[in-house]
Amino acid sequence: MILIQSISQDYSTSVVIQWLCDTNEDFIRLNNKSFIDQITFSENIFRIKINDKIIDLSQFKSYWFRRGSFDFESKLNQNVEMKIPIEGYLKGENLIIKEAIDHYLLKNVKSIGNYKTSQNNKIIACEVAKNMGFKIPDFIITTEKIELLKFYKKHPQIISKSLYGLPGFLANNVDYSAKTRIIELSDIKDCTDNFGVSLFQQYVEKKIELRVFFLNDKFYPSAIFSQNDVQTKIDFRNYNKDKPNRVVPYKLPDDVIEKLKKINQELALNTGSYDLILTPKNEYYFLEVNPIGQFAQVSLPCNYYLEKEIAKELSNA
Amino acid sequence: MKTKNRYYKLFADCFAVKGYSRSVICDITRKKFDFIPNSLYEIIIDEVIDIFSYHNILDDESTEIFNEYIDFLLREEYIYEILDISEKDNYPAIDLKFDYPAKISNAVIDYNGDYDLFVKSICQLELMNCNFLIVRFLIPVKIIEIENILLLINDSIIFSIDIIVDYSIDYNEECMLEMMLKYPRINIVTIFSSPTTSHNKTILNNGMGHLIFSQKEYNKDEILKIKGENNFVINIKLFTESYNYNNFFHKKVFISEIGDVKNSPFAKIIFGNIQNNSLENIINHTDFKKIWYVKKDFIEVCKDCEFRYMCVDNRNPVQKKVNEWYFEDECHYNPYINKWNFDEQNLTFPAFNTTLL
Ligand code: SF4
Repeated sequence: MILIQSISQDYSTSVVIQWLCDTNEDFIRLNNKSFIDQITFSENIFRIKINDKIIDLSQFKSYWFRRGSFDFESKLNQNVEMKIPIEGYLKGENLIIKEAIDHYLLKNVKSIGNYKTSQNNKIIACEVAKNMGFKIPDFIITTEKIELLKFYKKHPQIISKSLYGLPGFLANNVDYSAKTRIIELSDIKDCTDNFGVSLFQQYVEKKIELRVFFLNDKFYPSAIFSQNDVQTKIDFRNYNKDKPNRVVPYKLPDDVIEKLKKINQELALNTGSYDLILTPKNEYYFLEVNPIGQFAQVSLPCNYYLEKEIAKELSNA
Repeated sequence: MKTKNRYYKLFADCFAVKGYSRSVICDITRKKFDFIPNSLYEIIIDEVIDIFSYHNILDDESTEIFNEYIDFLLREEYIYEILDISEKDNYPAIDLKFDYPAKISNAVIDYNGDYDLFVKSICQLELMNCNFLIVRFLIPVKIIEIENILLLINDSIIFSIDIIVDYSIDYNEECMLEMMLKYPRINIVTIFSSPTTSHNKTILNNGMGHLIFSQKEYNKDEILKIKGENNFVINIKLFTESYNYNNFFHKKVFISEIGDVKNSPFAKIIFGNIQNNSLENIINHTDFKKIWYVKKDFIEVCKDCEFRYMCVDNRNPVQKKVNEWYFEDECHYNPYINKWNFDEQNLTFPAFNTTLL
């Protein structure tokens, strides 16, 4: 039996499952809305009931943490009056059980990804990458206009980036999707002396961008030719639908692969996607590593069949 | 004045396909193609296009033409410059393997009211992991009967269903679209012999949910041949499948209204009947799968055609020798003179409707 933790709309999960079905593997898929009905957890029992199925966790041969997390609290907290006061407490309790299950699975069954390492910190990852010998863009996290101005003067061009994830929301009919963008002097002038915590980075000239999926120290690099198009030059996620960027297979030099392997070890990652830059001077910059990144964008254009590779890993446990 | 040499490389997502008298660059990412002369084909398939090496062997006039070609290739972003010849190895070619996680990926079922048989067919297809289904209603049906079929699909592994049905008086756009919203796995509903012609879409916006009323009469035995360049489909899946297999027959199955299993609705040989045998057993008959491997490179005329990896054509190939096949009736396109035998603008069907029809 294979355990898959995902979210309901995740396309890549469905494709992996299709591959599992093709080889008649048994699996259970938990989504973010899956409720665990019953749980008993002691030193020698570890049993959950989900979708009317009772499963002993020792029955699982492999575990894929894709994204999301399962949930007990919503079911527990049906009492209207108690709902708000008790919510924080239940969240905390829930988190501990989640972490314990994650830990148990990680220790006892073959795992791809896990809940703990999915909570990735950009700044720490950059620090690790630097220690492994990667170049990283100079950065500053600040709330002060004066510091931002100093940083601006230090570099020919700077960008702003979100610290966590890829926020995108609508408020007052304005689309606040925080993609990476260039910060001009006029932007800084418009700032108040103090603003919300923000991350700024030196803008690094790119020849190509690299998105590198990895699974157990096997690397599947793709090169994104984003620089011929002003729309995608700064952030290739400003996809040009009429004229999409070319994405093709790439071969990383061995020394870069060795460095990436070391980062994997340091951050305890066995799957995810690296974002790197190759500069016009052929230097590799580390941008970030995303343990739960979308990999269909690497798999399909490069014809890598990554979903099949994941299914194979899960089956051969 | 001596200028610096330049090196270019064809982008890995652009495939050059050579035909008898011209070639195409098939742009997978941007889903388009351009014709190029065969002489240019020979140049762009080089691992690296070394500009000087061509300038050295070409006379002035040819150099000018050559430079124009290079400009065209750069403008269309088919090639890119590499600064150093050793850089070429950083950009490997796309592996052209094709694989699909199912024993059968697509099926066509003819339905004449035998609901039990239909249930049986669906169960058998589920075991094959089949994802795409076309149901052809051979008898007039009420909407409720269509819904009964759709109910079976709702929780199955089939995530796309096309419906072909003759017009009935109780069909209208409103009720059809309503049904399609209820069953988001409906890809295309085509209603033939309708009083009017129209094309609508549900608001689902997942690329599916097309509703077509057509005044044409449906002829289930008519092999619809490729009618023009609009029929070609460019994507990595079809390209690689066509490169390795016959894209019309590979992992496809047809189940007739009485349960007979064939390679396609237009095939002659019956390999078994699901009333008394499992689909798995039937398709495992070696001769059933034989045609899966008859890729266009093994078929006369098609093997000389520049469209062979973007063309889904549903004629039955006939064997001559090992890896040598031919078609009894001709394609509308002639790759030797690059001409269609009729005006290709006369298309009544959108391009997405060609698969398996
Ligand atoms: S000759 Fe063959 S490949 Fe070319 S258009 Fe006709 S059917 Fe397609």
